[in-house]
Amino acid sequence: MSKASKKKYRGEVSDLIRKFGEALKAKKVLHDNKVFEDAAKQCQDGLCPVIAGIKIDYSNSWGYELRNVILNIPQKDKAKGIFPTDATVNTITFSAKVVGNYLNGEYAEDPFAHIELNIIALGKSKNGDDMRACWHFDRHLQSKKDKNKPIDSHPIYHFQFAGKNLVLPNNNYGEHLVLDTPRIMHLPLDAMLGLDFVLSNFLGEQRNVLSAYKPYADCLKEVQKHFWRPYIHSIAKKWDSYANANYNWDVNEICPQIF
Amino acid sequence: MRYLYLDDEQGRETRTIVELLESEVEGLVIITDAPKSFGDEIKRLKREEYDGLMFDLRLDVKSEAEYRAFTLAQEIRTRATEGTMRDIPIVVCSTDTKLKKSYNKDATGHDLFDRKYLKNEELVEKSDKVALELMALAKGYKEISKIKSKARGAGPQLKQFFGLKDDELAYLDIRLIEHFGKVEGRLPVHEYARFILNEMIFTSGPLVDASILAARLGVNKDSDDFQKLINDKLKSSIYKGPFNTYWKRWWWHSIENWWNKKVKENLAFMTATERLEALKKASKLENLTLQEPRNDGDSTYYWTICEFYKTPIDPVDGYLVQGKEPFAWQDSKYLSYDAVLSPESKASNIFPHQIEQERVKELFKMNSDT
Repeated sequence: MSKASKKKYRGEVSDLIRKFGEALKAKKVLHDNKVFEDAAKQCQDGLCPVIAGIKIDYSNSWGYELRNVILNIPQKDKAKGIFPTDATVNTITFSAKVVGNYLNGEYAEDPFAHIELNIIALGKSKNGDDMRACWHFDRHLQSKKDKNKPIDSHPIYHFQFAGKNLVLPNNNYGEHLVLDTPRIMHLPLDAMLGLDFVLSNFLGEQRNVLSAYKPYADCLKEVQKHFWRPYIHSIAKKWDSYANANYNWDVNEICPQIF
Repeated sequence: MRYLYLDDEQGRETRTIVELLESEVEGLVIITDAPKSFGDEIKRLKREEYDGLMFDLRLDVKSEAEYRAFTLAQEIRTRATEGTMRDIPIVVCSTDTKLKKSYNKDATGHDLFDRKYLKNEELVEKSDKVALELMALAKGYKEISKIKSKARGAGPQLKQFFGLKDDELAYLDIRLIEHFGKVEGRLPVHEYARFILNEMIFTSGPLVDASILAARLGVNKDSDDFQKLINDKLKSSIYKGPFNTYWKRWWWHSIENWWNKKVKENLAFMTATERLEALKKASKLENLTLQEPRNDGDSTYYWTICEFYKTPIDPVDGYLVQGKEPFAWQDSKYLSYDAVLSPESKASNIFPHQIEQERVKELFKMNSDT
């Protein structure tokens, strides 16, 4: 890809990030959208994040980092199913590191070189003590020759509860039993898709408002087409021709996030 | 630098203020007089040459003046825009009660003044700071005027005042660079001055002050090597544009570039402890100490400072401050939770934003419970 085309590519991604942040602010889901402005700027300027310990061809990569997006949870529609039941979830923070490849054509390979999303729910116990829960989404590619290959299943894009963020100082775990949780296969998520995932799960009402807001829906439509189409079609390719089959299964029932 | 200080009270208080200010910094001369009638005052200002003006808010109580500071300042700004008067800084001063009675209630005139000062609490008690500010204002106006007169053709562009090279300018947000439009024409000096002061120097974004810089680097401002760090190691990031003689600022993009080159990990994703460790290695300075959080258990992913206590906080622990909607390239301002609870922050006119209402209510409820 030529230098000019790379710049254009980054410009398009930055525009989406910026518009996405503006949409969240416009609908008051977010109060401070500067983090999106900074991420968009980083992407646009080609200052791809350097990821330690992972081999990345930086000459062919774009990327950005989204530091703490802060979502405050209105207490009137607070998350259900919290244990202990008298605890509250007040804030969810979301941060992301995204490194992608410049792709020629829509069905090229994996669009990402690195993905790391952290979702942290912060709350208070009945006594006012801080409580937290964390989820981690990442991309993990294993070399077939890797001697240290873990026995656990490791789908390339996966979610994991806890992760390193649940490590608390002074072994303050109470009676919490923390063990390695399964890595659950999931569609690839960049920062925008990841945040939409968080909103769909924790701030349903606001997410409904947002999904009816054209600039928000347009951003996600574009991102999903870019990142999900190759992923889903690559799985679908496993079975024979499906072009003329009669499908009755509603796609939104399978994946409510699809626009 | 010569200032004209107009005050209808020409008593001892005014003389004390002038003497104090003049004694604080070399080169500051303040001539004080009672305001004349409007026409005569304009004539005087056209005839005599000053580098700055200081007005008492109420000029009309004990003098022949039939006008107040707003009216005179407006006239001077208009004439400066038309080019028939020199464009120089104008500051306003008054007592707390008078400011509260009229100045604070009506925002239309605020744009006219570069600074406002309380007579006792600032002009007297903080005369050293005010004197330096007056010098910096006058000098900054001169610099803007000089750059402006050098610019040819359509006139200067905002970016020419930043003192950055072209390759550095590329790091700034295009919406900042083009704030006054692609072709700005000849804007008056005070327009540029006001924008640089209010939007760039007093609000963080492309520029940060030493407190925010320290917060983001995870380092305690009082540690021995801190001054060496910001003035020596980070010298090339120092803002060199107008008003820099008193208001020290650093270009954030430049600090970030320095960090990324040396550390190779985004500092926003590191705790204060991790940042400090990396900073010591990168700067080769040993006597830098950790900035502890203000309250136990607070996050140390510091990004800004509490508007009231001026101590580092992670916005996650903060409450957005009520105020003007920031530009896309500016940072939002935050209060720490104990500042929200403190009656003193309200007395200083710093309030949490309307949209934080629910969280504030919860906070008060939780604190009355315990």
